[in-house]
Amino acid sequence: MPPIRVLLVDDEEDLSLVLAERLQMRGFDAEGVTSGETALSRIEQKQFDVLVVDVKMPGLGGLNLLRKLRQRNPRSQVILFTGHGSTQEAEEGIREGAFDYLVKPVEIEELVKKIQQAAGRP
Amino acid sequence: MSDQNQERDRGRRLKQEGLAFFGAITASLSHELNNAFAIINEHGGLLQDLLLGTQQGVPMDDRKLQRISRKIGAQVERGNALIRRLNRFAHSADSESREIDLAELLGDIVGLSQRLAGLRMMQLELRPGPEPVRLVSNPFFLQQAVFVAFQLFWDNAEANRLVTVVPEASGPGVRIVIAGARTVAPEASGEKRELLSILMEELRGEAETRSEGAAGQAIVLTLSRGVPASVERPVSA
Repeated sequence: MPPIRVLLVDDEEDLSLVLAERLQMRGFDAEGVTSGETALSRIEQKQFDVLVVDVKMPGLGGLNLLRKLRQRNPRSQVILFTGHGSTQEAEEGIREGAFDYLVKPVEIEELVKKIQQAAGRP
Repeated sequence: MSDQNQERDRGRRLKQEGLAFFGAITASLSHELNNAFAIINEHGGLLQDLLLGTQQGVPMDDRKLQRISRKIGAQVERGNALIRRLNRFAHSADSESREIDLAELLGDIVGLSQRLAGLRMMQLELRPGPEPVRLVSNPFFLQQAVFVAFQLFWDNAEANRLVTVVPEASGPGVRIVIAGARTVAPEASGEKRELLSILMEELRGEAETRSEGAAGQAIVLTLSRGVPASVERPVSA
């Protein structure tokens, strides 16, 4: 079975890249980008099973990115990544079709489990 | 409304707005600190992943270790800088009047507001002159006034990519020139403009929005260098 394709979207570059690296070590086809705009152009080039998206980002924020993804690529699942103070926005995201949300910092095994569930491969 | 009631309402508003300002800054800083911790946490986790790998016979990559160490060090430094700034900000409410190095105080409020501006795709840039500018004033109200001026630009974020902050001596007083492309329209920002006026009155100064021609608009805060007529409170630890 091909690996689950994951795109991590977080304006904290060091966070999206290290998470992608840790997911790759666990067998995922993972990559990280630092803006909603870059994520949109990346999904034009490659199909992703799951996107892990930070709620608060400059420019195209997490919720706006989610809305665009739902229109352009409804098969991809979205997990929202949030700080402690932004859970209200994350809950709004779930109402708008996000699979679930996680509060930063997150344990890698929790993230792995959530991605597998979102991809329908628990 | 009687003068006494007006004074009470104004005091209540200042208190409420001051708390909202304090909350906005500390919430933003806690978010940034959380990000720094998350990055440290993930790099610590990556180290554990690598150690597990060595136990299974995967050779340790020295360059990767060095990179992880640099990344953790950078985030610890970032966290320390944030905490130092947060501490100075918290103590700015200790005293109603003290001597201020204007560039230093503006450096703090620019740094504290940078993430909030960044979320609106706006960058703040402090451009201090070669000579230090000092004044005696209320540091908390002064930072709040500058923050309100930032908000008047970022509420019109479409137009503003860069907002500059220039402290300058101006005869017997000082000026802070906060310049960008265009502030939000007066009809959409009445409350903020009124708050800025109240704050500047408290600081015995004034705020003016002026056109900078093709360069855009500036909010100019003008203050005296003297002591505001207020009673100094004891400074807490």
